[in-house]
Amino acid sequence: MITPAQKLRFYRERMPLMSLYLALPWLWAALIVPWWVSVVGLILLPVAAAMIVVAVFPTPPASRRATDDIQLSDAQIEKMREASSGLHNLLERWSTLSRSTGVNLESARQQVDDVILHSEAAVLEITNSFVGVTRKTRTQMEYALSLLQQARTPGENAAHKGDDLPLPEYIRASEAMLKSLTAHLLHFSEASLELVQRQERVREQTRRIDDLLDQMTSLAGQVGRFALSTSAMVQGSRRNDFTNMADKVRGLSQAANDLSREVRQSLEGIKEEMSGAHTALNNMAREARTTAQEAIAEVEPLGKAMLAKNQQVAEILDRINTAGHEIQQDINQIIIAMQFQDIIQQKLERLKTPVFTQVLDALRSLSDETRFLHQRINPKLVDVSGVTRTGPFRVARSGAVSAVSTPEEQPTATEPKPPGESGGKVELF
Amino acid sequence: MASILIVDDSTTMRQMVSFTLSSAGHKVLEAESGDKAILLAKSNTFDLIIADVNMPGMNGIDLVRALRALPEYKFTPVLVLTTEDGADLKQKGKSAGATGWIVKPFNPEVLLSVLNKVLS
Repeated sequence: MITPAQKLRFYRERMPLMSLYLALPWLWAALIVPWWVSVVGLILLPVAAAMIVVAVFPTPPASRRATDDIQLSDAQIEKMREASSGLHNLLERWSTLSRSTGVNLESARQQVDDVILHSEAAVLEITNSFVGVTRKTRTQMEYALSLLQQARTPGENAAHKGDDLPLPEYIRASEAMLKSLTAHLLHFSEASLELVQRQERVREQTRRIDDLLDQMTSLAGQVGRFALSTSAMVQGSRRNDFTNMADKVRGLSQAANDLSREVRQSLEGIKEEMSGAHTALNNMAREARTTAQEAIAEVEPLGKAMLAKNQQVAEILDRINTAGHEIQQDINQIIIAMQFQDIIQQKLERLKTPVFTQVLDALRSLSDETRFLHQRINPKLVDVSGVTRTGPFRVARSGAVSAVSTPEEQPTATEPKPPGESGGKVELF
Repeated sequence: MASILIVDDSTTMRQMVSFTLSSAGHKVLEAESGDKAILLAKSNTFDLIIADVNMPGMNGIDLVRALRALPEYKFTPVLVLTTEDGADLKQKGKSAGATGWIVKPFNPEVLLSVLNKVLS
């Protein structure tokens, strides 16, 4: 239950204003009533106000009553006033330190956010590049496999011989063609040998004819001489000699006849040999033409098909080469992204130490200030560290005294730049 | 094929540079600090040295200066590979005797091109 005195103390700030309101009706009467009436009326005004407070005003809430009912001595109130003054200074310093610490932490938070963002971008870049490298390597492998496949099996559009054969087939076809050509050449060689033998035989026949002709020339000489002898015999009329001469002429005639027959036979042989050689040459020429035509017919499509196959192989190799080049580009991107990651890490390292050191110093300073103030309020409290901290703005753990830097002086890490913005710049001196 | 020394306190960066140069057929040795680089430079012969600037202990500029003080490295190309892009620092590097300045992150193709240029 609240007493009237407590209620009056609670509303004491309102009493002067209430007294003024109550005096307003007396202002007009003050000019016409005696002076002592006005004095009595003014004296009664606080009494009336007090009665209104006690009788009319509502009872204050319990919490307000509790705080309002503190009974303090003057010494305590003085001490509280001193503490309040220290607290005010402390709160100001707390505010300054909190603000600078907040700026530091905000800066650190932004840097960390940036680092996270850039790290994510770098990791994404690396991942994409790895995916690209994997994909292109697979493509490269597929090209290489298709190259091997083409070397092993014929294509689907192998409609004609030599159109789209596997490489071993080309080699086999070339080998077969070469064998065929070699066989034909051997045959030509044998035919040529036969021709040489025929020519040799013709030469023999010719030599024989030459001998026969020599013999016939000799016979002609003998006949001439016999003719002269016969003439001489006719003039001498030697009968026995004439008979002998006639026998010899007969013998020579017989020999000439034999020689003529042999020459004819040799000429027949030569004619036969020439005819055989002619036939053999004709056959050889016909076979050579046929072989050449067959070879051309086989070689031309085979050559075209091999050229086409070579072109296909060249294209596949070109694709493999292009894929290899792209893979190299992706690896370069990975290298750049990994460098960027490393640069960010270094910058974060450079930021971390000063910022957190400063935050720790600020918190330590606040702790020291609080302990100091607490000791002032309650001298019985002993500092557990045993070190007296007396009021400089910052007391470091080492005992060094320093000023708290302003937010403008806070260390900030260089904003990491994305790859390509300034990275890779080259300058040769 | 050239013999190249890479000096960087970051293992990742050393590996990246080493990978790039080795792939191009160069012989590469690595050092994680300026002091170790000097020791390696004295015990080996390098055609080119690539150094970072921000390193614990001896920084890149001091390393270039120390290398130039060695008679055998008076004319050897020394490239600075760093994240720093300030004109003042570049001028310091140039005064110390650096041959060129490459800003990280580097493009492997560009690095090889610069390398071929300074080696030729």
